[in-house]
Amino acid sequence: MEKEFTQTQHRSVTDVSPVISVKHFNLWYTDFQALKDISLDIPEHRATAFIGPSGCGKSTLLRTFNRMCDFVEGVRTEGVVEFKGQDIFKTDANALRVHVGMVFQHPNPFPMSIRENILYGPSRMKRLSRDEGDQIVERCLTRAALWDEVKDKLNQSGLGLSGGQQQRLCIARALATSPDVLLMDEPTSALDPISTSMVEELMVELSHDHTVVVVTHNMQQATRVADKTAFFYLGQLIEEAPTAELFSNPRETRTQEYLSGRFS
Amino acid sequence: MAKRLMPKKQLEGVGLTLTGACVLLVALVVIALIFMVAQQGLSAFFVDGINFISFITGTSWVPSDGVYGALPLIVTSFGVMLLATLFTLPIALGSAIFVVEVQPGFGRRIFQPLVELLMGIPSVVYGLIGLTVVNAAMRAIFGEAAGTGAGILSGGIVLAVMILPTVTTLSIDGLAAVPNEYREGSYALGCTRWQTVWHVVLKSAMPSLMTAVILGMTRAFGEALAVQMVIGGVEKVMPAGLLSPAATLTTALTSGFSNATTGSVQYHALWALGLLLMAMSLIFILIIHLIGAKGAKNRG
Ligand SMILES: Nc1ncnc2c1ncn2[C@@H]1O[C@H](COP(=O)(O)OP(=O)(O)OP(=O)(O)O)[C@@H](O)[C@H]1O
Ligand SMILES: [Mg+2]
Repeated sequence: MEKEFTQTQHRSVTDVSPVISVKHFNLWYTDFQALKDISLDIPEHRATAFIGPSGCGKSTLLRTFNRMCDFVEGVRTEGVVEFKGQDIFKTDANALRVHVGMVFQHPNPFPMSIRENILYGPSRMKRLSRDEGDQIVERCLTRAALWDEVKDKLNQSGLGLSGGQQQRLCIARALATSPDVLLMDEPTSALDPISTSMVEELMVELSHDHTVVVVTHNMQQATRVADKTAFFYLGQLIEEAPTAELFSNPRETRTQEYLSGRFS
Repeated sequence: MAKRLMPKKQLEGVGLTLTGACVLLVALVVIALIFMVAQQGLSAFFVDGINFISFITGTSWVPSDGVYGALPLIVTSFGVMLLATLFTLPIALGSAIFVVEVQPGFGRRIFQPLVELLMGIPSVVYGLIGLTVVNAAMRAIFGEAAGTGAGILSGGIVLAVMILPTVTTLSIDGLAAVPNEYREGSYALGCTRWQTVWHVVLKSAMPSLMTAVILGMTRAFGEALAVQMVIGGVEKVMPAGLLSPAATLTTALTSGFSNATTGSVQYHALWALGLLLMAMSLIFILIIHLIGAKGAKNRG
């Protein structure tokens, strides 16, 4: 259990078809332009990391992918974001969110039992029998590496778990709708090192049959989990490349400066 | 720098004494109050020899004939309270959901001040309006069957309007206190606004909503003036239906005291009603505390 999570073999990201495609995308909060002419492909069944200094628009872009930005008053967009070839702004936002799940910075399990937390998404879509419910709960908790810890207390409140367990519960909850993409906004920034390591391992695991997009302030985390990394600065995408390449051989001076810690 | 009036240490002592005295005073008032009501009320049973069981279960309240059966009063009290809750709850909850989940701007700027205004209206005004509007409406709707229009239904409606602001305001506070993270979590799973409101927001606000309702019920239960003006209040037998005039515990108290001589059996019986009212209110408060404790436990 205590084994240190080790660096993964980065997988190729160039010969993979994109599941999300951003084309000349701009976003304004009322008058403030938070994203400027972003063009970017998110490779399918890979982990992609967004890095960059605070306020550069990482969360904004991530929250565009599942249209959580819709809830902010005064948001205006220009350009195209495609999910599996479909313009996300022309599809039903709720249907999109079933396929594009999200895990938040602060673990936010609902004030319900662990079981109810997992089944929350699926049971909004269809009636589940007891058996189907049990299967989903076990599958998702196992997938989120939480099953062994909670299998005896599925009917206890999710809020009674530790922070790291809560975050894995949130991952399991997101998996329950069988999403293609999992968006994670600084998912480990509120966690202790051991929990962080578990969640990182999970991200790598999941990225074999899900597409994972993670926002992180932790460079090591990006190198550990992401196959591809994109660096943002002041609302612009400065550089995107396979992770190893971006970290060992950044093309842009601002990327070099950021990676060497000259600003943060 | 100005010279200190007293040495610092002494000042601390004064503060402690003053605030401590305030607490003591409040505690004394509460204890004295309970003691007095209990003493006067219990003497109906222990001094005047009224049987407690027949006091609670007797179906006729005619103090002038020495008949003390409080059941009609208890039934009517609960009746108007439940009616008021039934009318108020959907409206309060509906507007709270609209204000918090649909139109927060409108809610905070226009709706909430309006509701707070309603809270400040004295109950006699509600009674007056009830007398002229509600009772007349009862006559218009039910005709002969409504008599003068005074009755349990009228009482329930007037009380519903009276407690509406309290229940609404507390429900708004309860819904607004639900962390936004829960809503985000629900939306991120593909749920619609109404699914989110129903399954997450209402569910996690349940303890505060219950508290809102019970506080409203307590207020309805204890209200005397407005109810007395619209409920008729002379009949002291079991009410036959929602349209029959009746008396509640509170209206029997307010109307009874004017013709009861101090120290008489009738006088003590009225205090016993007061004791009953106080006991009920205590039970309500206790329930609120239990719900609060349970809510705190659920939140981990
Ligand atoms: N709801 C909002 N209304 C107005 N401006 C906003 C809103 N949300 C974000 N912004 C602005 O948009 C810019 C990008 O914000 P965003 O949250 O995407 O940054 P970030 O890269 O995620 O930063 P951090 O690393 O601190 O989380 C910031 O300048 C921020 O002030
Ligand atoms: Mg952010």
